Amino acid sequence: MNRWLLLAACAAVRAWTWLYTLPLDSTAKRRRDEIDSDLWEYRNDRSRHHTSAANAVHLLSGAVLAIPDDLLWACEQMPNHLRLPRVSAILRFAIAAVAASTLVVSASGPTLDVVSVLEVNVASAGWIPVAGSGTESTLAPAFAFTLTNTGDRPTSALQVNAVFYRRNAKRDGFGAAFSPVVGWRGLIPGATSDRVVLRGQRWHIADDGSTTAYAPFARLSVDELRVRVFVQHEGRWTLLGDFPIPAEAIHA
Amino acid sequence: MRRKPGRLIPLEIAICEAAIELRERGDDAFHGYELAKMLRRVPDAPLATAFGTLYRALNRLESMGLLDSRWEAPTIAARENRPRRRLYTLTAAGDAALEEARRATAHSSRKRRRRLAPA
Repeated sequence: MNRWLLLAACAAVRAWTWLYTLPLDSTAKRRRDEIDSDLWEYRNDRSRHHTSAANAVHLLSGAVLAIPDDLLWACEQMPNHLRLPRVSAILRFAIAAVAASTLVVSASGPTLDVVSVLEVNVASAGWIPVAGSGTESTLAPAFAFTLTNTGDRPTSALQVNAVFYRRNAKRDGFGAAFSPVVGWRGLIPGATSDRVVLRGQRWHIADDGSTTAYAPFARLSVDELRVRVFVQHEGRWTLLGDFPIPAEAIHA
Repeated sequence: MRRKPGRLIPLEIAICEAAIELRERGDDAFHGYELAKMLRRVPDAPLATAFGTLYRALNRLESMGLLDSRWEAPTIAARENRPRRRLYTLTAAGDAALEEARRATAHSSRKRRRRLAPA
């Protein structure tokens, strides 16, 4: 345990040396190498009879007492040995700074109420043919829409999830669908997203009008099948709306 | 501490004296850790064992031309399986500066004693 304390103290001294020599050119390397050498000698000095913990405390207290001298030395070296950062390093730093400040600003600003600013423009709702076999055709409930940002602030990335369900039926689900709407650029004020088509579970319908075991398509009333659309914005899911799926065929 | 140009401060004098002591023992060159161990015995330089303080003083003496420094040959360090040492040597100018500093210290001690002596 005590040995680890000494190693930690050495690491702390090394880290501090690295920090105050950071703006300097080759002089920094010389100082770091000298300190590295001294730390090695310190750890391997057999004439020191203190415990490792005492040595660690001694090392750290010495380093703390020398902080003013370290800083003064760095300042003395700067006029002749200041390292000019490369353009790529400056660019990387600038990008990181912009990203960090954007994150701070967006995190500290009021949260956007997406339900009030996003307008759902229903393009079509109904059933779309999926595939067909000899005696039956297959349909699936579908909901096609776009989103318009009616607010005065851009959104972040948007994703939607649709849950198709039958009103007054606890067990009969019609499937769910998920789709991204806009990527990390978000939706700027006044902009409308690309058309999104969400499709539910397939239904097999016999050609003679009767259906397979699930439920009779022909007997569905207009507002019996519905879809709940949820939107994910900044990691939070919110119900955007609840829409009817008419019992009519559409082409998505 | 404010210093007069060309005058050595106590820590720098202690470093030069340690260098002479080591030379008398047969070690012309010394490294930072060895010097720190010697200075730990000097009562006026308790902070010198801190690496930052010591190296700042060594850099100062080197820029004044009182010390020379070089890296140890890599083969020696490799043979002993340790990092290379930076070796410092006291120059002739260092010897002269130490002599001058000793004379100045002795002179000011005499003056202080005269001032404190009863009339």
